[in-house]
Amino acid sequence: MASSVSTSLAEENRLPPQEKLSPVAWVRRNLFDSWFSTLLTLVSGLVLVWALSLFWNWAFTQANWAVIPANLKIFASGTYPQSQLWRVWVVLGIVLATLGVAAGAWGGVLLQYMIGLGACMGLAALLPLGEQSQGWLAGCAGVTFAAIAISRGRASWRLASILVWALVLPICLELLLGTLTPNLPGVRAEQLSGLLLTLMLAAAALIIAFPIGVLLALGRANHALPVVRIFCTLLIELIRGVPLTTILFAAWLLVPFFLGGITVNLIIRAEVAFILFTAVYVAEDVRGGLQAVSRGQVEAARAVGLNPFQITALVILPQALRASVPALVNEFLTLFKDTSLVFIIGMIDLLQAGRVVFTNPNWLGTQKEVLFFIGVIYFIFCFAMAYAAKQVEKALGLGKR
Amino acid sequence: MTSLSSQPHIQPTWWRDERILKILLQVAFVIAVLVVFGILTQNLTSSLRRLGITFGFRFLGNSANFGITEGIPYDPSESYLKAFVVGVVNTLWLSSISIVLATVMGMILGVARLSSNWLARQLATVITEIFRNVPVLLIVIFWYQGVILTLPAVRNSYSIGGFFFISQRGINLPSLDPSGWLIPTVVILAGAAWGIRKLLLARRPDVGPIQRNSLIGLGVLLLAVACWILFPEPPLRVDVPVLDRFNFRGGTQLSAEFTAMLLGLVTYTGCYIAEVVRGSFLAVQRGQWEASRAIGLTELSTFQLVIVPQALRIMIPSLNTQYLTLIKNSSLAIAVGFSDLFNISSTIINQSGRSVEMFAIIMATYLAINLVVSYGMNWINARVKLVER
Repeated sequence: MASSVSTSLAEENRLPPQEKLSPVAWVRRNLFDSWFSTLLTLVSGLVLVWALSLFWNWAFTQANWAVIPANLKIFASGTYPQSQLWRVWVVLGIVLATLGVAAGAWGGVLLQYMIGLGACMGLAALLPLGEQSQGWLAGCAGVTFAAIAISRGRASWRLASILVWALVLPICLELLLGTLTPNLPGVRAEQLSGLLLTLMLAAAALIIAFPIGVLLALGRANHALPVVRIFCTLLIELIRGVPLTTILFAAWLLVPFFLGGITVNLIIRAEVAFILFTAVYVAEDVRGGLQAVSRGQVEAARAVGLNPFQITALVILPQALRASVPALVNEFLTLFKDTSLVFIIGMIDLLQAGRVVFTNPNWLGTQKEVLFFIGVIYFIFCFAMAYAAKQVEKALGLGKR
Repeated sequence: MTSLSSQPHIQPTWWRDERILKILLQVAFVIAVLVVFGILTQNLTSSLRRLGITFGFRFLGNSANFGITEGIPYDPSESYLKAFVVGVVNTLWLSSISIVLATVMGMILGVARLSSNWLARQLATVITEIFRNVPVLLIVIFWYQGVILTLPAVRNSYSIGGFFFISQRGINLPSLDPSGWLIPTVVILAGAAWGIRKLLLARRPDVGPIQRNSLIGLGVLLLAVACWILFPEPPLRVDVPVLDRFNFRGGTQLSAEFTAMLLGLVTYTGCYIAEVVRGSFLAVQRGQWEASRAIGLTELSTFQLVIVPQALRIMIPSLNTQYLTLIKNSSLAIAVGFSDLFNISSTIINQSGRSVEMFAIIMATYLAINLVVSYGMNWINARVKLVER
């Protein structure tokens, strides 16, 4: 205890002394430093006041916020049949339990998020959302906290909490769409919509695209097998060169031509398009990471007698992936936002569900409210992920020189 | 005692020989790829045969029979190829304007985020974070359905100084109409600028660069005014839009769809560019500021002469990526009904059913545009690159 205090004191002594400014001095220093700074302050202040008053005026006098609570179900699960909604809640419970176990085992920012999420759902259960939803929300919050409590501090569960997703994903998909027992009706894939669809597309694409992307990157960086390298390079450059819209369109119109009579669900085809598109971008990010691993590492590994496979798996990849974490997070954010493009092939994701709401004759003229609400949802997800990534980067000690 | 040379050279069995394994692996890979490719082609041809379509690009000559309201003059009786070209031109026009404006916006926001002014810094941070964390499609739809379509109708357009008019149908702005006298005028003005500079350098070498440039500017300006007055026709006439009974006369119009796409692409990409700009300036070592201060440069000249050239060098590869993303994002025009190359191609596919052929064309066009932009950016990159000895 004593030693930790003394080291922190020593740490403090090494830092430059912090200047204490009075508020007036702070304002003068930060806002009215020179004539240019004063001008900048005035212009920014005007823009700020103008935007805020515009927003305030709209939000509290013109906006018809009733559209949001009235259509919460459409935003969340779109056209998913009301009678089968319990399946969505069960899937949410499973996902939360899995995430809770991971949070307990890994700790850190994930634990903070899961506690926050559980608390939010616990609070939401108290809102007047109808008895059924309240019960489910309370149940989800309970499951989350139970999972965290069970796995808290069990570091040996860490790897398992990642690998288990390979099992959880198909179970969730089957639960959402399939006919589990004869008296459970199957749900058509087109009915999977709203935020539910957005999250499913993004999560599945990321989980599957990541290993493919790593393989593509290794293929492209492999100088021993030129044929594989050329193939990977061609694939990456070709897909990176065209917009995602085109690839989705191809998955919709073109893929049936190549399947020779086999019909594959549109949602799966769209998912494959997302996976391909994300994988090539992941590959480029990982390639950057691979280039950051110094050659000495390979030589040292060879010197201690590792074979090429061991060198890649145990020495190069861990370092390369660690270096490419920031870029990979950016990729996931882009993927999450790009799922909104499925409107092109007629699927209804969160954004499209919003368009369905405000083109409904009962809610005409509510496009600003709906788009604002959807924007806030996207913003919360993206901002939370970006923040988490920053914490992970700090924990890994990236970007420090 | 055995000497090393007396040991027999160990030849590994062939299935453990790395060289042979490599070749075998690659042969297997090629065979696998060829088999998959063969199956796919087989499936494609049989599917097309079932539909009674033969692969080919002849259909491009057929009459398109659909109208396009945007872009270069085009008549519905013209061919699919012409319709596609209209789309390509629209995509290029939209992308190039967006790239220019997004770069300007990104520069301003990026520098503002590094400013010593607290308010400007925070404002820029909030703006970038908002636009970076929502889908570009949402932004485009917001501009289109949330903002532009809720503006007043044409008759009650907002007017900015009587020159720009903003309404539901987009933006009406003055156009520049050149006449036959434009080229002689440009030649005269350029010649004058060159001449004044030469004269000043010869007669008054003591005049500083700022004064010299202002003198040249003044001379050119006076000459330009003279040209506009003396020539029988003004070389470049400004055509200001005038509100008639139902619509505007004169000037040019940016349609509502174009404006929405432009605003969406510029605000989204602009914020990404702001981050690129910020990162590049932060990547310039702090010592560079200190060193320039030590040799007595002012803050502004340090920025202009030392920091910007170095930051520019770091910036260009990332800017290239952003420009390519912007061009690809322009295909979202289909969401608001702007006739870009992707939107027109999808109409052609719907009408003619030629999805495979149109896809080849779309992909080739996007790849070609990307290649040209990358090539241009690489050329610029080579120009600003640090020349190492």
